[in-house]
Amino acid sequence: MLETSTPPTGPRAARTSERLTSGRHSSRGGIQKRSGAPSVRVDKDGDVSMGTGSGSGRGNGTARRATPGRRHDPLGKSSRPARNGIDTSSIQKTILRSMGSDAPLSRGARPSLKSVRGRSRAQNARDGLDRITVRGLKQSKAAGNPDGGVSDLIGFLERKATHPDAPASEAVKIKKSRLEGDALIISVRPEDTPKITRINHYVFAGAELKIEAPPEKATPLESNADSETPNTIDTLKGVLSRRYNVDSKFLDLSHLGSDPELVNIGMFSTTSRESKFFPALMKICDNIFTSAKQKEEAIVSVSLANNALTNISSVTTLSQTFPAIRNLDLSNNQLRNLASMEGWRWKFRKLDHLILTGNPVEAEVPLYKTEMLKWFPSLTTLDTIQLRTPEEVKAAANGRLPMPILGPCFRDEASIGENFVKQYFVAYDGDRAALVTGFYDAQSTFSLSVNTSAPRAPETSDYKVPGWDAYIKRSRNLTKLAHLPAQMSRLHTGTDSIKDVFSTLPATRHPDLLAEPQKWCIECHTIPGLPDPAGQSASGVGGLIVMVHGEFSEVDVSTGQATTTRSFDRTFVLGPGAGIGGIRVACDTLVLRAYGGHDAWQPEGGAVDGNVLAQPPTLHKIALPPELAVPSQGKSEEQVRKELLVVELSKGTGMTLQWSEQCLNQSGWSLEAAAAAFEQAKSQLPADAFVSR
Amino acid sequence: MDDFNTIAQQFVQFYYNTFDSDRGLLAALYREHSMLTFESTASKGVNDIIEKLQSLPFGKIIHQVATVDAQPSNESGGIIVMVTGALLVEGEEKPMSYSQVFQLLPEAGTYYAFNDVFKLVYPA
Repeated sequence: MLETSTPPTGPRAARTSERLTSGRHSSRGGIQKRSGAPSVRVDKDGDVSMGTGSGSGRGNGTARRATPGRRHDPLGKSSRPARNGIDTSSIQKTILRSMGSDAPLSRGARPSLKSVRGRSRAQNARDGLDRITVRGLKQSKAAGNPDGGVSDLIGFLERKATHPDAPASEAVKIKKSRLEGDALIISVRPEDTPKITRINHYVFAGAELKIEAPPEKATPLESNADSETPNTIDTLKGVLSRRYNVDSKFLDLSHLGSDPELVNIGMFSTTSRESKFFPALMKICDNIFTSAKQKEEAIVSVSLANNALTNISSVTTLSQTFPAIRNLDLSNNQLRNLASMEGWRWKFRKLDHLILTGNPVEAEVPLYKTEMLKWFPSLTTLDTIQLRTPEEVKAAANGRLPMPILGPCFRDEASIGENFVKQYFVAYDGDRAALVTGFYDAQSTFSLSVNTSAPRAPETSDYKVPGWDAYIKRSRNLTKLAHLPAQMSRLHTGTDSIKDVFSTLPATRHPDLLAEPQKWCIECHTIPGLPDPAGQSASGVGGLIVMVHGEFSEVDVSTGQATTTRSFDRTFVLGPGAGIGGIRVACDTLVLRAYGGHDAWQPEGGAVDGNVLAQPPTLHKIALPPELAVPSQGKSEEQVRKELLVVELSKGTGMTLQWSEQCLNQSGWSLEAAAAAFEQAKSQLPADAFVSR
Repeated sequence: MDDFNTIAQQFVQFYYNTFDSDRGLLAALYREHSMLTFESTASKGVNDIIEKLQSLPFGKIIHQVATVDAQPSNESGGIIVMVTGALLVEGEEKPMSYSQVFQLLPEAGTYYAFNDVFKLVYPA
């Protein structure tokens, strides 16, 4: 720095401490006190920062606050445009900080060191003083003095700013001062501001001073700190639109504190306003977009970089307003541990890329990457490094168990289960009374229970949970129903009772089983020992247990419109009987729960044809003798079972009944073994082994 | 003998307590002709079933039962038990919803699981 001759020069380094008179000093308040015993350190840029922890921020002369505990961006990626340029990011850092957990300190009653700092922060905005940035001290020879030359500089400024003839009452007094980086921030009465700025370019201890006056003050809003005016809302809208890139669907909320518009309206002038700022911004977004879908389509990426966040509590509403964003940049904040981000755990279910570089958590929580992968189920990329593929995410979301998802286990007998399910739900949606007549009898039982605690699928999480009023009075959830009479009254036995209860349940529409097989998961097992309605087998007859998982929509009968979609799990016990297809429903238990989608049972690799019901065309049409596979006088259960197997194999393979029987015989009457044997031998089988087409 | 509702609830409670503390002890609840279908993989017989349960790739696990419903399923005292709930696996953040159906059959004054069909119905 060249010394110029025109402005008068200030005190040399040697001329020091006559200014350190006690009265002066104490009048400068807490911040000055703090820098009375400064710790000086030099960061990698060569900047000196002083004070117990006051950081690197540089001011433009507007409201500046101490940011205890903050340090330089360790990666040197700090946002300031140039080393000596203007960077008010520290302001907004402070803002967002003070919206966070330490905000209450700002209202602390009395001066522990911390509360003094906090209070000063708040006061700074309200004390009616102008803040002026003075640069050049670091380059001056006074910088080597015990207090870094602060007291010398203050004395110099006061002396030069005060008119020589002015009475003592009009002497310029610097009310407060604070070092931030290489700048001294001073507070003066507004009427003294021009007197101070006049000293710009004066030379102090061999260095030229650069003095920046504050921008226009935002006084009108100061008195109205607790309610946002329409003006403020318009400003916030303007800020949002300026920070939104429609092409990249990117909302850039980084460096909020250096946003001149926000600073100008005094958005960060008081703790109270600060704490309302981000929620207000989100509220405005909520009003701009009418639906969750709109938001998701309009805003894919959000940056909150360089906001000095020590935790996310001040900005936590982001996850409510934009739960579906794919990319989130939190770089260069002060997030130190997992607890500081806890509020977003398991939020942002679609988040694909998270950036946390430049946060202490990188160094202080070695396992944070693993944790982030757990917190955000769709996350593939952390800090620009891909940690897992989208396929792995999908697999993880599917199972959440480290095991493959297999197609349903369907051990049907002669397509009885298959045919039953195909018919049942169409009839349930269409004509329940006829359905009951067709499949149920006097001994059939039905009950339903409501699982109110099952989670909803994430894609529906923005919508209101539909209530269970239509079902809950009939819910036979034994964990909640202690009394036997209530338990028994909610078990419906016989066609009349079942018709009754069916008629009270909301009208439904189930997805088409053949058109949308992926929405269904149906499993089927054989069971023994069902009561024989013909009374011929004392030990009972064989039957099927059919488990159906799926979804349905409730239908408004007056309009025919589908309303609420719910998921269900339903188990039928089927046995031979007088109903449609020679079967009866012995037991029918239905569980209803919030819509949970159908990802849980999609087989890995996306194949939906694991569901046998999706493949009816591959079944062969076999002409069956009427007596085959039907229980009749003199036919043993074993015989019926074998005949059923023969029919099943024949349908599956296209082999004739004779060949099928032979194949099963050789395979120990195991359908699976027989099917496997067929697969091996089919190319060598003669044409007459197959049913002619 | 208790009514089927009580039996079902007792069975469910015992089953999950045992599952969550020491899966191997579930052997007492199966017979040689029992079948477990866990996420579509079928195992038959006590040994295979226990082997399957022990080999499940998770350590500590907690079942949170949400609903239990039961109906008599045959004349000799069989009970069909339908359970839904949530599965908390150690190291996972969120419970997984499941549905499980037991076909219980009586034997010498106790009940065993003839069929046990477990299916995750919601992944997270």
